[in-house]
Amino acid sequence: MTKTAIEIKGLVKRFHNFQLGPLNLSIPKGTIVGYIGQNGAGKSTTIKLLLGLLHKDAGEIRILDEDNPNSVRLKDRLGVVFDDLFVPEEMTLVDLEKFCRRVYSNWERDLFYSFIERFKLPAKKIIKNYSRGMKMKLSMAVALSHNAEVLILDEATSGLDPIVREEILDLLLEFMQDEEHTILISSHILSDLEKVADYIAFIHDGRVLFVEAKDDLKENYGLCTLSNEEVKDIDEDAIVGRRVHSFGQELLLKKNLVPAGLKLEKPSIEDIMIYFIKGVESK
Amino acid sequence: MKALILKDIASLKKTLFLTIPICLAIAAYGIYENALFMIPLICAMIPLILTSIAAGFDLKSNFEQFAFSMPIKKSSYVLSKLFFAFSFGLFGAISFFVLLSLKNQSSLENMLLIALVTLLLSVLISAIQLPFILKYGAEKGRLIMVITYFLIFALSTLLKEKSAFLSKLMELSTKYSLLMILAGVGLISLLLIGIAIKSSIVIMEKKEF
Repeated sequence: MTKTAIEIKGLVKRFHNFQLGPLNLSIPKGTIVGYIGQNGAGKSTTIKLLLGLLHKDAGEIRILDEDNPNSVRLKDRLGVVFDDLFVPEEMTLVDLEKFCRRVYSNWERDLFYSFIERFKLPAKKIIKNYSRGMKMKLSMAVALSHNAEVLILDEATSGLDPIVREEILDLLLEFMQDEEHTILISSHILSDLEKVADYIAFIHDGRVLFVEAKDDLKENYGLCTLSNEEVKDIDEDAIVGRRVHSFGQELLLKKNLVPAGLKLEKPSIEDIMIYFIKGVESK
Repeated sequence: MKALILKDIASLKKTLFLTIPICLAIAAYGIYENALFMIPLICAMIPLILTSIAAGFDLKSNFEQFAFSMPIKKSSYVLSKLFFAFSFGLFGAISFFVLLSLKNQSSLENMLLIALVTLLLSVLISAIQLPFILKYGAEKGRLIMVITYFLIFALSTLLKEKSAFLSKLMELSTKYSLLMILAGVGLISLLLIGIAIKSSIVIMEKKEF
């Protein structure tokens, strides 16, 4: 048994106008990895490849020591939440529970209904009449009620109000109480990832630009505003990205490459993402 | 597979409440009018519609993506889509057998075989549309299927006209017993069902969600 929950090596998926990879990513057990990137960067494609919903063109995927993403045994150990609840809208929550009970070998009916009670979801209402928040809560309840070891969330918090997002983040943290559990979460809402993620993997244009511990990320980079003259004294290698304005430049810098004494502010993950993209696009 | 069948029943609840009484009423009318052929006909046509609606719901809700992120085999998904055809076919076969028994016009072997062929043909008609629906979606699939059926009928009509096909067929029916003809039809149906299921599974294996 390895200590890695998800291992991706040289993964490639080609489309007509886009190529994902070659992608390498290793997610240790017991961690929450935030998978960030712009729209169309390849986040959902990666997740679909992990779940066997898309066919890879090259590379290897290994999840919980299984190298076939279509393995039924593997999927029994995964909890998946997409950006919507993809079930026929004529179904009710009760129908969905009956369906899941027969699909998952470790389904816990009582646990499912405890989530339903906690989220105050109406049992008799058809799913068509659920709000987006209700659908996502139901989706979370399904993903968490069959003793999954790895949770994969694709934009699960997007479009939700802050209260619902907070509830979902609380659920994720509860799930992580078991140290064997792992979460891969892709999201646009970087403040959510800032709260829960241990590692941040940043994908841009189909390539992973970095995978770093969230705390290291904030420690290793700094933001500062300098005049155009002052920028000339900064080593080009230290500059990750820049925003030019009329009275100077705002820079994201690698802390270990800048002169001592330069006053730097702590960047948010959002800042890091934006400046990385600016840096890549200016090259 | 049981889960997928339950899901289809749950999502088609309203349609089923409407369809089953209509189906029973048509069957009763067929018995009353002594037009027993209406039973297998209705048992073949209704599941054709139900399967299309179920596939349409799946497509609309993107259910396949949800289902295949779960421990569900593609083959189970394909087989589950033949549940309505099998159930209605079985109902048709049993009803047909009982009605023929009551009329006492045929031998037991013939009645059993007619019932079996009713079941197989019901499944076959739905099975043939399945690869089209899975490949092209419910709407396009149905259209392609209708065109295919139309072409087959047009071709057979042409054959009949050009080569006295019908008279040869009549000769065949007098030459061989009804039992043998039905057994042949049954075997061919079984083979075609097998091919349709296998093609549907291959389509699902290749499909990306």
